[in-house]
Amino acid sequence: MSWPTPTASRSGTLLKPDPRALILAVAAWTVLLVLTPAPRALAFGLAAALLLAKALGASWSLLARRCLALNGFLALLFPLMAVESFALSAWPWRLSPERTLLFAAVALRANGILLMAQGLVAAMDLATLGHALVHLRCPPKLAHLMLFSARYLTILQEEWTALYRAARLRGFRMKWGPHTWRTLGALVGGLVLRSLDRAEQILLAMKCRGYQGQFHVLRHFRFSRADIVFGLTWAAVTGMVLVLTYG
Amino acid sequence: MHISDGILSPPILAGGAVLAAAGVAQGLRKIRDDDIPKTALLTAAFFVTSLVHIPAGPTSVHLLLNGLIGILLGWAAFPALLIGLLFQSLLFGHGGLSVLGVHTATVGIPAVAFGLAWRRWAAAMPPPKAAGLAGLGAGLCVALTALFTATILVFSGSHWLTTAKAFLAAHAVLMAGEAFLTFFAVAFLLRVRPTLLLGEAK
Amino acid sequence: MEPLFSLADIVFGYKSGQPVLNGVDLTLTPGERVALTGPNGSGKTTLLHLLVGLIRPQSGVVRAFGRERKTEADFRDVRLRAGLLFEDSDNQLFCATVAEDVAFGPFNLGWARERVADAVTAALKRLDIAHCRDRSPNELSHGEKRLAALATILAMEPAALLLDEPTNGLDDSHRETLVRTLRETECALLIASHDRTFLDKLACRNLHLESGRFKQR
Repeated sequence: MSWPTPTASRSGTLLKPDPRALILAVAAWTVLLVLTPAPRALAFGLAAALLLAKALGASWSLLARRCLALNGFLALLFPLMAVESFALSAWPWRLSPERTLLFAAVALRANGILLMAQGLVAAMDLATLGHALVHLRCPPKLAHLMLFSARYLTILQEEWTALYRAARLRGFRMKWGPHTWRTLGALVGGLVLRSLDRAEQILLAMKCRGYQGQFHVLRHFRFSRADIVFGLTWAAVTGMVLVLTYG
Repeated sequence: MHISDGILSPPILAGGAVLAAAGVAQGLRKIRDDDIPKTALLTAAFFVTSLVHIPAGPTSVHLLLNGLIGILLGWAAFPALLIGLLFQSLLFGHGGLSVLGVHTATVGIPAVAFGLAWRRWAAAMPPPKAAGLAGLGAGLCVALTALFTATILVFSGSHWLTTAKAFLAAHAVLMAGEAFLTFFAVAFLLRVRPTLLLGEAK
Repeated sequence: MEPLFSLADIVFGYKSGQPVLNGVDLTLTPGERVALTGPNGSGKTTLLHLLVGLIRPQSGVVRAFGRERKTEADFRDVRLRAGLLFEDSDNQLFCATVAEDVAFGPFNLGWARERVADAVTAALKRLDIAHCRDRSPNELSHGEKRLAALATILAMEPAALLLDEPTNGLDDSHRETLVRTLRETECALLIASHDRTFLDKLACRNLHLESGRFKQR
């Protein structure tokens, strides 16, 4: 498995906004949709998020894949929430119309937020995201922790795979039961040990290059005309959501 | 299991965000400069383990491990969980951005509370007993996370009651598994690196 | 000429058992090239780590850049003036992109942003990996990682390079780049390696570690 995989390749798009603008837009969008109850406004928001994600170069297949988990979860939730009563005496179980409408709002809102996040923020690699967060005055320690762990995700994934493969070669199969939990306990313990040993070496390497608690970021971003276009588009979409809610 | 965007009411989301922000701030204060690589690598390691799915009947569950995270990281568990959950959300579309705060709080509060307590108590215990306590606590952490989540679901609207019950049932299964897993993981770590867990209590 | 490093009668052992180094003397003068050979586990890596104070000897004297070094604070500037290439490049490349990684050391030297940016560009160009600049270390080949790790220390303009198995995982073209770069540099070189053909191309003096001491060969 090779991840982190951005949802878009930026090379082919017309619009290349500053990553900081994208992060702020997604954050504000999330707040906006959380506070929006009206299904028609949410439906518009969902469509707008999809178009915006597309305009910024997101690929259909990746967007669809990322939405799969969410919608699987929602499909599971739908009967649990929308059926009026699961009591035996209430058979045949009936959907409540108000709850179905409420659920529609939930589904639209969740997909609207997810699409905007996937189209705008998940489209950048984690390095860009981290650097942009540093410039957005996110606590530097937090941003650098994030960058650091993103850097070692793949390596630790490989170490996990190696540990797991070794267990399988000795006949381990994942199934529910104490043996599985014991084996997993040893594997998790092994991964923790390897992570700590590696962290120790990394700290030495950092000290060799003069680390004294300071992090600097070489890369800087600059706002451009693309940000004005993007900002205006985003503001128009937001305005429309507000109009559909309160108008 | 994650709650997605769109479900919880705004006041609950805001409350979760405030709690998480306070926890993360305290966690960042407690992380010394030299701890940054260690914290980051454990964050990555626990992210990797959270992708492990264990078949359970017709479905599968994935590991939460918040008890173990609390034991190993203490206060730093808050930033570690926030980062892990952000990655889950961005890289796989699991969970959502608006629920990041709530998730960090519901998973992190039991983790940190138990982790700090364990470090204090286990220092005076023989290893098997310390591992046993870790296992019990890990089960408790999963239970508390499930309980918190079910509670806020119900507070977000009575129509979520059935969902909340299903959520509790799913976690009851995971609870037992994680208790075992954490017991064996901590026993293993105490055996191969006795100073690692106990020497860190501050 | 005053040596950059001199070790006198160094004894070092890990917690249990035989000392790894048992009475080692060593001098490294400016511009000198020294090959450090010996079987696995003979203490080559240990010796390199001792020079920059990542570990401390149980007895003996470490002198570097004109004075004796004992404490963590003593070694801080030694590490900035002598670049250590770690055996595992992944542990040395801990930043999100190659450029940020190469910039890490120069920033810690307190250089201004423009000077850092120039140093990054120059170091990457010198090692023929300018195309890797904005890539994550995850996306590099083994050879590219090795050269990128070397770039992170070259950018700091050190007086000495302490290289731990520099040819690990290098293919032929990366090897050539490495040999050329090391020949051009004026840094003193101390190279721990098993790679005879590589060492023959560079080194003038050979130190062979065995059973905790240098042996004549």
